Amino acid sequence: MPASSLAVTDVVAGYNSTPVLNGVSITARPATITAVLGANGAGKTTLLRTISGFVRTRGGQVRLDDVSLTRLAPDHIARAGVAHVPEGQGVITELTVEENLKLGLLLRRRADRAAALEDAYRKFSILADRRRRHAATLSGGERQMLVIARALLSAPRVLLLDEPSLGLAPKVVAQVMDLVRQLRDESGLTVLLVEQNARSALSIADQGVVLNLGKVVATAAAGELAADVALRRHYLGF
Amino acid sequence: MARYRKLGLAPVAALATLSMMLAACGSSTPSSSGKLQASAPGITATTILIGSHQPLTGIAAPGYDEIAPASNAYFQYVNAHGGVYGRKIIYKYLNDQYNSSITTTVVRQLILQDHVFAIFNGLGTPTHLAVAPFINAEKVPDLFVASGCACWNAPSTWPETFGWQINYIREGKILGSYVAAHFKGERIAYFYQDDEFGLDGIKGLGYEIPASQVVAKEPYNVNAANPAAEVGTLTAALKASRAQVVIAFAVPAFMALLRLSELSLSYSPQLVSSSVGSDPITISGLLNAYAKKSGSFGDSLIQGMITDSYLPSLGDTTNSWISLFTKIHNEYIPKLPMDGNVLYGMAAAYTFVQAMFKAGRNPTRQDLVNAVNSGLPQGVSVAPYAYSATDHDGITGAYIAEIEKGVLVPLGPTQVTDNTPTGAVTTYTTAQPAAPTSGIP
Amino acid sequence: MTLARNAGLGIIACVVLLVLCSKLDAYRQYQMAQVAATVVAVAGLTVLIGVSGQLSIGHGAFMFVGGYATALLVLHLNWPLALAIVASAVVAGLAGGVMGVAAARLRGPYLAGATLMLAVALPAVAYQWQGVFGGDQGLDFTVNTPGFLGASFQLTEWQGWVCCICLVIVMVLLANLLRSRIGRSWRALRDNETAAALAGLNVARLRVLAFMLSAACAGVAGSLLAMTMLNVTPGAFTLALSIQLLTAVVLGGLGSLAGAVWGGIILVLVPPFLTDFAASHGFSSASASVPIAGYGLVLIIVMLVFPAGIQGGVRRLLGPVAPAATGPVSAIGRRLARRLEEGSTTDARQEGVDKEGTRWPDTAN
Ligand SMILES: Nc1ncnc2c1ncn2[C@@H]1O[C@H](COP(=O)(O)OP(=O)(O)OP(=O)(O)O)[C@@H](O)[C@H]1O
Ligand SMILES: [Mg+2]
Repeated sequence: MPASSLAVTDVVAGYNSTPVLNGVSITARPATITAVLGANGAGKTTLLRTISGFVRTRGGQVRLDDVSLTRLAPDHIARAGVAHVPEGQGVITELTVEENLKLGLLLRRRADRAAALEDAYRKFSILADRRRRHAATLSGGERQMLVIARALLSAPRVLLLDEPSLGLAPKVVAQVMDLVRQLRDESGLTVLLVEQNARSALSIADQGVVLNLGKVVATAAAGELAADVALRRHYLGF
Repeated sequence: MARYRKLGLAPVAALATLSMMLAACGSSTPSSSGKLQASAPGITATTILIGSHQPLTGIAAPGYDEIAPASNAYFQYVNAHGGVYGRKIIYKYLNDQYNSSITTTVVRQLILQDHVFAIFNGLGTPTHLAVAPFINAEKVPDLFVASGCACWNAPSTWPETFGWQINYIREGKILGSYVAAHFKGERIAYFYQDDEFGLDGIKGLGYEIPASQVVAKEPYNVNAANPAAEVGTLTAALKASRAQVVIAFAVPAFMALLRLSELSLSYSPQLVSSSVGSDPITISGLLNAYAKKSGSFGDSLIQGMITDSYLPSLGDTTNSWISLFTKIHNEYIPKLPMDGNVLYGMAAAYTFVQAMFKAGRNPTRQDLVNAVNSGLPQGVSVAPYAYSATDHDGITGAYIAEIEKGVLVPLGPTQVTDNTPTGAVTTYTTAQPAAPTSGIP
Repeated sequence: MTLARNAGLGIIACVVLLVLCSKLDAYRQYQMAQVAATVVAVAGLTVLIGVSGQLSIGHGAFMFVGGYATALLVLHLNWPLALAIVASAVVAGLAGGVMGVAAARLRGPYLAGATLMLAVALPAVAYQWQGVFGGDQGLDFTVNTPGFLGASFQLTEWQGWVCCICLVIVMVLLANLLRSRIGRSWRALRDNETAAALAGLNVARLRVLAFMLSAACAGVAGSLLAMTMLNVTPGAFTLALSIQLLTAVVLGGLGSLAGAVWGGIILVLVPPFLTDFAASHGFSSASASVPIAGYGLVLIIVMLVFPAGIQGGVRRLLGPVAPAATGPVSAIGRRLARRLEEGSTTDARQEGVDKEGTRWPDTAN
């Protein structure tokens, strides 16, 4: 499957009356990782929620390759190949680990499902050991793992990760970052990675985008961004 | 709807009386002596179990919840005075909340589980209609339904079912003929419940009152979400029609609302009411409750109202029936008001005991039905019964009365009639028989 | 597979119920039919509320639809009973679909209000078109016992059989459905709507589907009640009925099919029991409020003793403590109870979680 590109163009979106995003444009090229950085409240989560259809766009466009995702319902966007790992709790505590994973499989062809599930258990062996447990009994890190695994099971073309390292031990964060990189390199996944930990995000990203008050204030190759001391001081705090 | 035969009432009444006298004097039926046996479901050597469905709680309960306790008081009185051929009557009445789906269940309980001998005085038209097919299919006597629907008189489809109180068609005719005679040429309006009860009533009225005199017909919905508002609108329409006489076929609650609406619109036509909505104690109590007044407020509003009654007036203290029932009331149910509902319950119970005696010492269910089919002698009511194998209507007549100081004062003699459009309303001259001194038929 | 297993258990349950029904007297058969019909409605409602997470205060309205559909079809078109029951389910399901579409746009109190209005408004239809629906008096109809059972076969027994068979069919279908993708999806969207949508679930459609299904169950229940009572009246489907169904759902345990059985039993059998109890203990039948107060008391006590519903309590009693030594009979009972119950239908619950003593449902998140 060829890798896909995601293009956000002049998007205006927000809650109630005041827009949070004021004309945001980001292009994520196929099989790249784009780190989306910015202070608390900059609009990073809102951006991802707009892409996956939970926040209505009031202007601008979101396109996956040639397909417009603008104003589609969340489940349609998911079907189009965009998987979103939300900030915080994305697991369904009512269901077991395996049932959670099976939700991700709904978008797959029936014939592929069993193999995909086994593959996921191979990648996330922690989950394999806990497949019959209820998600409610998982630790925070395990939950995060579960949500990522579920997102990947839908065989997405674009993965939106909202602070996947939140609450994870440094060693696990490294594992997650490794995994993301691996997905890009081996599966051609296009990733939008929202992170507070700018340093580790930029270390694996191809491109960095800095958001501030709902606007893109910088877009550059990850290495350039990490090297720009003034920008780093001003927006990224390292 | 059943077909009604047109028949002269006097011969029937005479015949019925005669046959009863023969049965009473003759008493030589094979079952008149010998051991008491469990001759039928619900009958043991010592007891007779009968059942009923009654609205003990819910919308229809106020007033009507006194009826079954009153019947029961009379049965207890009979039990304490030798019973029916020595058997004691056990009266099991279950609360159906005036909801026909509950009626369906409780009547099945009574028949299938408790195996009652008969259903007695099941209350309400819609509720009892829901169970009449079942009761008849089970071949259980269904005596003296507490409803004036003409529908109970259907001997060929429902051979077990018998009405008791005067039906609404007859009642409409008797009220109608009075109004036609005493309010000649005046503008008349109808206020009625939009179901079998009201429709039967105005059918009877229509047989007697010239259509040209009727200036308005205002039906109300008994299930209205806001009864007061509904009645208010209808009363305004009545007033706009400038009717001088308003005839109501309404249940007590709506009767009281009508009266209060008239008051607030300063509209005061002559009010004429069917016996259903005219028990003075019930209506004045409701008026006081709705208007948050007390004392004579309610009574003053129904002063001069014209109505009819098929039972002796509670105000007639010289009447032997009233004194009998008052005595029983004071002994068994002193906490209940001695009102029209209590009178009704005891009178119906008396009629049932009459039928039970006539059915014999060791009766089957069919014996009880046969007993009523061969007619019952007039007793507690002012007019004779219509009962025969082909007629399951009950009381055939009533007298017109005016409410004065909270009691019914008769305005004339008893009138009897039939269910047909052309059957005349005639005066019934035979005096009501006195109550037996023992109080037992 | 699970479908076969559930079907097998269903057949066993069916045989047991039919034999039991045959042993009872006529009134008990009638009550059994009533309980079965009520359980069907409660089961549908518990799926709607406890599994899909939507509230309906007016489920009696769908029973109304099913009951009148059956009465009209039998009365005017002489449809065979089985067909009439299926048709009632379809008609009520469609009505539920309409309500569900509206419900998808409403939340919390507004949804409750809308369903409440439906329950109040629909019976008024019977008064509006008296010619068709018979007004206050409703419609009477008859059903006959099929000829092959012989002339002496009691009608009440036949009614009991039909209701029990329908109950088992509905329960097996619901139990399977809850284990399926759809059941999983419902629980997912109830638990975490955002996450469910992110996983690609069509939240709106799932909601409507739950409403349709639940209404179809209510339609079957209405149909069964109608054929048990041999009439339908608006009085049979009041708001009070809807509230009672809700009570039964909560009493039994939200979202639990086994709980629906408990709820239905209490709803149908406790009030007459209390009436008889009051009568035989010296309260005259005139003190009509004694049984009603008693019923309220029973409800309060049950909720105090079993805050998670009766099935929650049963699960605790049978779950961690009950050793295998209680014998094969109780083991089968336990299996049946678990099979019937949505939450624990997965092997995971039985083998993994129960072993580890985890309580359920969890309120985390
Ligand atoms: N549901 C909501 N309703 C109204 N305003 C909201 C809502 N969610 C977020 N906001 C506001 O929108 C702005 C952007 O929020 P957003 O969650 O996108 O920030 P963020 O960049 O993800 O921040 P963080 O790094 O803290 O997660 C904030 O000012 C926030 O208060
Ligand atoms: Mg955020």
